[in-house]
Amino acid sequence: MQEEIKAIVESYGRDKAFLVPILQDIQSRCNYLPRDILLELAEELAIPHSLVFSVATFYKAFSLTPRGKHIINVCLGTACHVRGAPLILDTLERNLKLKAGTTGADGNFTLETVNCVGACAVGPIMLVDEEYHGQMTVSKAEKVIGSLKKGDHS
Amino acid sequence: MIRLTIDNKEVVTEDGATILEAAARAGIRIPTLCYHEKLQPFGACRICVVEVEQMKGRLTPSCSTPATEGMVVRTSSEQIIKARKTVLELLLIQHPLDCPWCDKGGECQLQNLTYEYGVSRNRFKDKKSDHPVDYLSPLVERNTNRCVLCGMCVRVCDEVVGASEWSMVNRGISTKIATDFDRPLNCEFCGECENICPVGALTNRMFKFKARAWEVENVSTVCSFCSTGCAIKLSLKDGRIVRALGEEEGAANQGSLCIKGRFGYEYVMSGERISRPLVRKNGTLTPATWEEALQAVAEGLKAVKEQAGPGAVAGLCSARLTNEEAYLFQKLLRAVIGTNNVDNSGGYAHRGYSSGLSLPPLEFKDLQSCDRFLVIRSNVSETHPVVGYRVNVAVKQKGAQLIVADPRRIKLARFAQTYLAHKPGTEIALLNGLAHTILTEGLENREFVAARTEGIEELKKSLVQFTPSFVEQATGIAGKDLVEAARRFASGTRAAIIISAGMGFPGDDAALARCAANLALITGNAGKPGAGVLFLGEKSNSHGSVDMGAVPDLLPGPQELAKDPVRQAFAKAWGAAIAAEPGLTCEQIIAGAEQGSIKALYCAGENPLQAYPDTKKTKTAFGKLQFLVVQELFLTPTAQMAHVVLPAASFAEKDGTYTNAEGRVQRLHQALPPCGETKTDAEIFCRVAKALGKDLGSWNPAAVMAEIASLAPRYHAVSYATLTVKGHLLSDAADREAPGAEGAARFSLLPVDVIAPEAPSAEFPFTLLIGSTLFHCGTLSTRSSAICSVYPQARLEINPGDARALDIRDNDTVQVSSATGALTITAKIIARQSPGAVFIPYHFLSPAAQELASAAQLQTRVKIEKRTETSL
Repeated sequence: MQEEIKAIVESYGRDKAFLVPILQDIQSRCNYLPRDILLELAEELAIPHSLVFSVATFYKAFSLTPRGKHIINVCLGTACHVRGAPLILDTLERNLKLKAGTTGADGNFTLETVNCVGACAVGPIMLVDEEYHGQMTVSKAEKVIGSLKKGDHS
Repeated sequence: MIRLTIDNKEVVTEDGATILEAAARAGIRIPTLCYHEKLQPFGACRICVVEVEQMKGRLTPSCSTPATEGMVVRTSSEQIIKARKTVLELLLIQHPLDCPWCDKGGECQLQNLTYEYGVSRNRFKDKKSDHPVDYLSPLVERNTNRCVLCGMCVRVCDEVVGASEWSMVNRGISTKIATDFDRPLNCEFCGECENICPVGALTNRMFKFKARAWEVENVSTVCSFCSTGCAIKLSLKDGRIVRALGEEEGAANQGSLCIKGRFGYEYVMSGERISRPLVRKNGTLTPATWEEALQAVAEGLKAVKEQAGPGAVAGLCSARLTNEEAYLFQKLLRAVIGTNNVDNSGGYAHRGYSSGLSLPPLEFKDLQSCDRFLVIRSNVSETHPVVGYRVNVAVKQKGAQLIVADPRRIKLARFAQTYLAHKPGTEIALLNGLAHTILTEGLENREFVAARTEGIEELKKSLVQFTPSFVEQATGIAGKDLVEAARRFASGTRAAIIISAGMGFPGDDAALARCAANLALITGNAGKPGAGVLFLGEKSNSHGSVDMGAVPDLLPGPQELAKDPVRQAFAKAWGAAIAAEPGLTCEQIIAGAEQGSIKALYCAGENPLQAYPDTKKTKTAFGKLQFLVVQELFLTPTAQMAHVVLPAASFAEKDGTYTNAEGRVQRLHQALPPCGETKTDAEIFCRVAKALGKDLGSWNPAAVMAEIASLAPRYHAVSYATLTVKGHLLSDAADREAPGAEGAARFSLLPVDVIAPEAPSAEFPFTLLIGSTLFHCGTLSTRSSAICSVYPQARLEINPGDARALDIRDNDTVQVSSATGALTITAKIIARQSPGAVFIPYHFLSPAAQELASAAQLQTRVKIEKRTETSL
């Protein structure tokens, strides 16, 4: 891992101005931002530990705890909200037995909410990993989760 | 200059000043919560909003808006007051209002502003903040529920202290101040964050529940640890010190302190203080009356003087005695006993600033206007942290360039543009190498060299051998790095060279100081503010004790003992003949004791058995003394060997002055009555003299200073009547105000030859660096429990690679041995330690690093073995 971090830092010319993209790369490699790696990164970039932590906690896109194999994001922006997004979220929380913002013990799912993904015309929207699912209903949401679960068991 | 109108008042201010600063200069107060003059503007709290005619329609934060020509500003109006009240209401939504038991109560800015603006009701309602309180951090307690997110702790830690321990974490409503991953503090523990916090979010744990802010009486005095000379205020309640604060008016520190200054005062009230005189009877030290003890001292000294002459008596004093006391001590030895055998720990350290340096000292405040720094043989952020802060500010806020040369990757190396990890003990070759490069590349300041210096040709000749390749061989610094550093240094307009002196820094200080002075002079860095050499003595009065002549070859002034008129002047004033022969230095006194030529020794606050190199040799030497008198605060190893122990008052129990490293004479004010039967060192010296049948005059510090002022030209203008909290900068300081002035003194360039440390041998492959840690200063700080809660004992710092090779892990017990001695110690693996060298701080009684060192050797070589369970 140490070598990988070095390579990522190197690819940005060891410039601390690129802290955010570096953190994004680390997160996509590790699925979250592990503590040891952040401390090591601070040393590599010669910046204070506290600064790395500050940036990592500022952006919602970063997670300091391990996340599930699938990351489900429910949009709660105004347009989605009036079209019933809270109901979709309720459904998912019940179905996945998860509170929004947490990851299941089995490590399969992370349920999160987001305040707008910029596709209001097709709301309510739910994102599965990078994929957009528009015009969600309770039954469509259940179907999407069902197929994901099946995929995991196979 | 900019002209503007604030509240119908014409104000003139310099370019770049903010509205807030302009108003402050005009005596108009604008309330703030997130502004501090030491920090960059932040604009977080919105309390300081004002109306600007030219920016109509909105309120403008005055702390972050530059003043411009013709601006018309109003600092108070109905709308402004309404806005400020709203800000306070918003802050008070979550604030717990636990003021009755909050330690900031009475000096809380939020409380004061709430009162001032009459915010008695809150239109907004929400849950109170409910973060857990951090009780785990030593010395500083963090209760983020009280936080107003002004960010001052984060900024002071980053911009001034350079530790960057705090940051703002999370976002929006959940923002709070925290360390990385919210762990307890593990930092420098300077307490600057706690001190700057406008509310009770960060508080001083030592002050917790000790007193309400309005109950304490503040006594302004000077910190007793290092030679920065920070002005402090001791807060007293019921005859006890409950906290120490930095004095904002203090010229050396401007309110800043380090861990030692803020949390280290406890030794004063330690239960281990000696409170009665002790006299050795039948082999044991037994409590005695002052009359008995003084009688014993007089008899002991008189006997030796009569049998073996005054030359058999010697005195060692602490560099923490006040100027007045150091003066009386050397007067006691010179005028009453009749010997010049007087020295302080400076015998090992102070030569740099007493005899090496021909330049006037730098003023600390001018460091912030430097654009180049060369920090060599000086872990200034640890030995003199508050001076280190100034370097941080210059580098981090003002863009000065920093060159750090140190075998250890010290804190400043992190901010340095050039870091040179040279071999230990090769600083002289490095400095000469830099000078050589500057001269061969023609980067010197020719005008200055021609006008203000002499001896350039000799210097050039002596430097011929210091080519980059020669220096590379000697120091291990690659030739191109040396050249780069030389160019960087020479390209500045104001460069400061910073060097530390003290028990932890072996080597020839005078030679080092000369090399540094040469480098400063050829680049024209003398005679202007912020340029020159800063030679930092270790202790609070290291510089003063040299000025007071508590050294073998100087009389108060300092003036050379060898000069007849000087000696005659003192002989006349003191009514006693003064020997022309210089006395013995520390090393010579100890050697003399060992050989039997020194028979009586008077140690005033000095603890050679813990602080001086080669403990075993010192102990043997002291064992041979016919008479040893120790004047001390604690029963130190040296005091335990004494025939008479005289209990002395601490810095908080006396009046006097210290002279700091910039040559500033500052006043100590008595805060506490003397502990038990202790007396001030000044009074004791006078009483000893009286017991010997001589009169030293009054021990009243003001009277003693008047005597000093009449005899020492540099101190002519020093008088208790005029000394303010800013102190008095000694007069030769005027020199730096006159750059290149006609007839200004010419500086001598003095060639210095390289002194090569011997190479490590196969038997002792490691170089031992003995020095000071950030947390301690001398041996006194080990008596302060707060400091010991953070740094309780000496550890061997070793590089990870060396540790791996020796199969040593963190916290393993290792045996370290040198040709002189051996000790066992816990290992701490630390990346900043250079390979091939290990570091042990010397402050502690056990394991005592000085047992391994030898005064005769420039470098201590050691071997390190891992101790296995069975060998324990």
